Amino acid sequence: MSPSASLLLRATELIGHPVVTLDGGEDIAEVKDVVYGTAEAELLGFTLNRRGFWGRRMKKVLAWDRVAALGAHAVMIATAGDLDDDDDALVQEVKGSRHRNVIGSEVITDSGQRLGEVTDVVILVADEPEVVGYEIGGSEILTPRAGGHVFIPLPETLAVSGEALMVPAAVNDFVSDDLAGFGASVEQFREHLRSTA
Amino acid sequence: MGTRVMSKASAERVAKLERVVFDAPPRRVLAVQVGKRFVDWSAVSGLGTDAVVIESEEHLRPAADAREERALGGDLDWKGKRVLSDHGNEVGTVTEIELDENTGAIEVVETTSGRVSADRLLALGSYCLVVRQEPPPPASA
Repeated sequence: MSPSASLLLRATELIGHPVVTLDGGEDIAEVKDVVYGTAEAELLGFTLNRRGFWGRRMKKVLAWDRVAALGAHAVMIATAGDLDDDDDALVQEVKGSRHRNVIGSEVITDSGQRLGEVTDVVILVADEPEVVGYEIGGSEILTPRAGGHVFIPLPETLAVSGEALMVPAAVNDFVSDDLAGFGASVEQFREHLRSTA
Repeated sequence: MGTRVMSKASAERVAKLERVVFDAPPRRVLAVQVGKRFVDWSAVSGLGTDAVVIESEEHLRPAADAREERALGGDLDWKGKRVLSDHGNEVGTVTEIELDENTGAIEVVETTSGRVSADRLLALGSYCLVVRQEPPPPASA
């Protein structure tokens, strides 16, 4: 595939996006919610609503590995059959994970500093969409900067429990307070982790 | 659209051209809708700016498949249709489709943000026209 321009977006920005088929040009659903796993920054998929103002909850869900592309305006899938039925094992996985949401988890550095709480997950949209970081809110330490929201790059390894995310203290040096500058931070931070490993 | 449709056999005006029906993925015209009826492309003898000429009135038939039924409802009308890339980015809306009048092949789709060649068309649905995203222009030195 072509090296398309990469794009960073918050997972919650996908809520309300139409789910469009590549083979039909039809908007067969829209994203109701993003389902996160408990493993490191894992996105399991999306729950769905029917399209339209009165769109009701659909039983079918969209698994992450069935997503063909995430764009600024739509989630693309190859064909309508890529939505999973309610009896699918994957749906059960998605259902089971709903109560183990990474959103709201505390972020603690390995030096024992509380950075804040996860408010969103940042996705790098390239050929293969990838979770690259978190948006952290309520961060008194990191932000005298206004708004209290910062982005931290996701380390390549990380401990996660239902309660907290453990990140290396070095993450402090790679925090970004705007999404636009965040792409470079991710690269630098990963480079740093590799060089000190 | 709205062009008069004439019969080659009788030289009479049949009705107005309502729309054309494309194959999927959209490459060429399969049929034209004349009033509420359809004529296969093979029975269209001319697609001019002044008139569309069909071989004879005998070729007029009702909608023959699901796609033509949807065309009747206006579901697949391309004018003003949203254009979405296969990467999920909005490209604009369709303003014009240029056809080869002899073969019925789509040559190019004009959009609010430029021309899309036929080989990049992936699907035409009620929601949008899906096109293959163009690779980014090579970085200038």
